[in-house]
Amino acid sequence: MERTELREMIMKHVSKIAKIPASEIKGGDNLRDDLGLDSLRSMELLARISDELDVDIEFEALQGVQTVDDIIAFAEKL
Amino acid sequence: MKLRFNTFNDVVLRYAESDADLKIIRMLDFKNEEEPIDYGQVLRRSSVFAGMLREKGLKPKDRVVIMLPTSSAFVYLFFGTLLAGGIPVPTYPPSTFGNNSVFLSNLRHIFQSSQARFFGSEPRILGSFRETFENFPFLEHVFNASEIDFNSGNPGEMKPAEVRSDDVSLLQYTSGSTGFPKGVVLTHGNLLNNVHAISEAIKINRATDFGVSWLPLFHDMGLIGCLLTALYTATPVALMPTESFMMRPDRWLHNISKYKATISPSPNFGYYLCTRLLNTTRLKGVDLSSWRVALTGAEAIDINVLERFETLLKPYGFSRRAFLPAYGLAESSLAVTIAPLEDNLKVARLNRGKLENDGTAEDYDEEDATLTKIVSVGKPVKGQQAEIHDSEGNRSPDNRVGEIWIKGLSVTSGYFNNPGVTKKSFRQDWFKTGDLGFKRNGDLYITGRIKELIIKRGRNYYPYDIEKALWNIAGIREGRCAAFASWNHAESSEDLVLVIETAKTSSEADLDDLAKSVNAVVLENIGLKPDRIVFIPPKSIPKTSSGKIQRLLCKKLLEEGKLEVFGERR
Repeated sequence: MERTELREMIMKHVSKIAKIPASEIKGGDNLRDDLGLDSLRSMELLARISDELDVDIEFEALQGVQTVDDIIAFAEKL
Repeated sequence: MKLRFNTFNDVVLRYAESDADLKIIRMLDFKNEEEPIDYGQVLRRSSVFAGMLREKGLKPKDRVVIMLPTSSAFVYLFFGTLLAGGIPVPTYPPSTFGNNSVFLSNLRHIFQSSQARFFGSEPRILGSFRETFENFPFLEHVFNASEIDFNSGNPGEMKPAEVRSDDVSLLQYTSGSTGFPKGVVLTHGNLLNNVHAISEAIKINRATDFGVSWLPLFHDMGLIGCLLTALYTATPVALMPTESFMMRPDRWLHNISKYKATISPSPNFGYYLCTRLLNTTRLKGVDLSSWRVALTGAEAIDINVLERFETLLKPYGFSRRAFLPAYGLAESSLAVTIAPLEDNLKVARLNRGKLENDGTAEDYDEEDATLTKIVSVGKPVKGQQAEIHDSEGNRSPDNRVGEIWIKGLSVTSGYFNNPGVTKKSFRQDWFKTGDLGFKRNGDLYITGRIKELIIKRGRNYYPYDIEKALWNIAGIREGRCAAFASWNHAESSEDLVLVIETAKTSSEADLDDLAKSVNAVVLENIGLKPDRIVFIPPKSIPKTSSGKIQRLLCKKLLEEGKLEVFGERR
């Protein structure tokens, strides 16, 4: 998946789960503090992204993922 | 009740002789790769940890706090503590994305209350909080499970402690209504009686049954219902990490299919998550026809969710006959009632108004908004009693809603180091559950609860914790906010509703700002997003004459439109 495509796909899922229009979401937004996602919702977000990319996310590798940009960087390495 | 063993130490010691090579646990990691563990290994490796505890001066009945994800180390630390004569205190690890302030303050209370001198955990947790742990009261020895060589030494030299059926085998901490976790005291006898009763109720046969579970081992349903039941009945169980299921719910079903599992439980939340997240293109080749017991408990059961799950998975061989509703709580070890296998999904179709306003269960035949469907959770398991009582403490007749009181061989004697709360929780020898329900021809139906608890996706939250967090916000003071739960049908979960008193002159922008702070503070401290924030004028939260907030009355007034609301945010 292209970089911009990947970004768009992730933004789409973030927008859906946070119930905020994609245009209002910034890369630096913190999942919890800015987007109001609790840990279950954050996990659901990552589950949906890993499903769309058809890869397995190693749960332990998620330590330190806090912002939308972190997710994008994480997904790029998959 | 005729038990096969007197203590869980007996269970491990005797099976390690009679069935040493039986691969009783199949531990699955985050990659879903299996590590089989036989009874001989459970005994040997647990004895290694027992020896380490003894070496550090563990005395009989010393508490050992265990904080580990689902892993073989959990099993060895748990049974090692028992074999050494100590009391395991399993506690939940911090959540991955959550905030840790509430987690740490609860943990500090657990150490304070249990006076545990020993703590076993893993590097991720120990590394993040080392400084905090160093200041914990009573704590002297910390074990890093990943540094323990469980195959080392000569575990045969470790002489197992002499324990009796009425010795304490588990402290199960649950949050209290005042925000402090309380340790439910359970003896070997309590646990064994419950495990035995569960195995009879679901007719476990070690020759033909196999379990699969993703339930966390620091929670009673995973620990007692899955791990301990498997070990007691010598029926193998595959255990997978909870997060592995949450990220990939299809794995749960693949594992059931792979092991031809017959028994796999889940709270309502697990079935709901599947209906929401499951990608059925990943289910190729899955065959669920072996699954005969899909126990469902630990939170309110929504028949609509079960039916959606059935529709989704029927093409893969899942049968509705597998659903087995149950009711239980930590104070009863685990199970109080389980529905009968032969008549598993009994649904009462009732008049909602009659039920909510008059507390009577009256049949209702129409298909409209007045109809409410409640699933029977069955009859008390062997050795347990459950009766409905009115507020005066008198036994209620059939179809009359009241508080569920329980008594029996698996019921706790009380809370550890907490005689005050223990006294309040019992009436003679009956434990008052705080849950509401009615009986009909011997079957129990749960309708709600007196205790002001919020259950969100299988986890319990206490209003006081949430309100306390709100006091950090300028303009919100003690006694001026109330937190409670309200059932959300679309989400099949409870909504967290916050009612907050604020000046009526507040502008829309003020309310936006306040709602934003409220969201941030609750997420930060509780790890949960409020579903609904309601603003009402000062002095309109109902209180008792002694000034205590009446949360349930507040909820009722809100639901009936009797509160003056001038703003709301979602």
